[in-house]
Amino acid sequence: MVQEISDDLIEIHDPEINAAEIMAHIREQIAQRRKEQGRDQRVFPSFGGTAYPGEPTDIPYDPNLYHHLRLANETFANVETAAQLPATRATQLPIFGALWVRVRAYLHRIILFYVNRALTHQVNVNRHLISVSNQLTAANQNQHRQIRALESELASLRAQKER
Amino acid sequence: MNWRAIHQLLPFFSRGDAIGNLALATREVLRAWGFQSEIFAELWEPVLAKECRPLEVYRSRPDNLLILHYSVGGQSNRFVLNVPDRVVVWYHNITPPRFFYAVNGDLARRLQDARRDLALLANKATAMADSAFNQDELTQIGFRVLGVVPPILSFDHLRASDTMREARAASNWLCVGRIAPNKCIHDIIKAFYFYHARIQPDSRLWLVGSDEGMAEYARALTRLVARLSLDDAVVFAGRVDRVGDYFRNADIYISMSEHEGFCIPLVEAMHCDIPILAYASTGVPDTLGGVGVLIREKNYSMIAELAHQIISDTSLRARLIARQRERLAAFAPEIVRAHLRACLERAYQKDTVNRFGIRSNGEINGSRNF
Repeated sequence: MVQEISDDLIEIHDPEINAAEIMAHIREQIAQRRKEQGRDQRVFPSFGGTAYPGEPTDIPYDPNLYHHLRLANETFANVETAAQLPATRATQLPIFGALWVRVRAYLHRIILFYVNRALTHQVNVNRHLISVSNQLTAANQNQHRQIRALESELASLRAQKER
Repeated sequence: MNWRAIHQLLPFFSRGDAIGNLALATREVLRAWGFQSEIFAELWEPVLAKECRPLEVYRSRPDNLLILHYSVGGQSNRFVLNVPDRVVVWYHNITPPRFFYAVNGDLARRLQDARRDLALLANKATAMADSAFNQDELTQIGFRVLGVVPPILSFDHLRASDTMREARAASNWLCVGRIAPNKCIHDIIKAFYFYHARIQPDSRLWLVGSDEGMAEYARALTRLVARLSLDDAVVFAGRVDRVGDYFRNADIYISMSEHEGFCIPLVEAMHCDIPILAYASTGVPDTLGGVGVLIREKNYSMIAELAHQIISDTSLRARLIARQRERLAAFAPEIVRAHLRACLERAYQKDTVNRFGIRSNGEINGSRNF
């Protein structure tokens, strides 16, 4: 992908260093290397999951699809795994109550250890599934735009032919 | 300032971690000033067991000052809401959870919790920030900010040996810090690819830092390196004991991070006379304070050329290093200690908030929220 380099891309707060001169030199160097080595057309892989593509503003869309997709993106990692240990009649009993509090907390910790392991796996699977949904939705948007462009091209060709 | 004791509290006490090191350095300073001072933590690395005490044994007292190091969610953040001690939050910033949804859901949740609990603390505690960027955030939340106190830094661990000379390439890029998505290591690798493939084949990128809890991100980076055929040129050094050797070995320090509260490695690079090229985001411009080279956009081929210019243009390099040395003076231990002392003295001045949220000086607490 070719990126344009704007003038104010770097900041050097030093009156003795001329940032504009450095940028000009860099542009020359890049142009020279492109001449000698050709353009590097490499497209880097994007890291991690594909983000929520957002509702399109230029094409019609199904609000339900975007509503559910947005909520899925926002909530897939919000899994409550903390222990809930409210006081009960048993925990307020003298001597036995304190012992029961400790035993109960210990049992909860053991259970949560395994629950959290399973949840971590599930959150990872969810992330991949949501990433795929995001990517398909984005692809669908692009295809919709392409179809619209082709339709308008077809319409203008038909109009030309009829004339 | 007549505190009985000034203790510190943090959720996780870790070796080699910026906040862990800061807690140790601060304890030394507080003890040197004659205060009782201990570090309390929820969890700690076994190697630090003798340096801290469990949060559960903390004894609250109204004449104690409790410094809460704040950067992540934890039980300690809520614990301080119910103690009679005067509490000062030392805010190191909270990395936005969005960076971690894809790699560590548990951490993302803890960061969300931290953001939520911070707003609750504004009514209970005063705060110090380690950069102006962090101070602005605190002010917006509604904290009474005592001042900016940068981390107390010691550069003893940066003493270098000659052990890495053989591993050196003609040009060496360095980035130090946790292998985490907010640090945008992937962007450094992409820029380095242009440098290595098109400018200087005899070059190496050294990535120093732990990937603990970030296995998924580390795997993605390894795949990226393999895909770009940089396996021999990019070194994942992990957590190292002799980071000074890596600084000594480097020709340029590079940061593409998109979230930093302060970024200690930038100051370490200043100390080691390594010119800095950094992406201008969050707390980075404050820490650099006008030195180094900041970029506003991530144009990889441009970053590679700029790095080449900084490495090869000796007069530019010398000027950048000279200015960095000047900036380093702002982080001298005696200056930072004076800032810390001034903030703690301000905390001692009576400042109470009544049940209507009105401070003793008449200011309405948290009014900047509205």
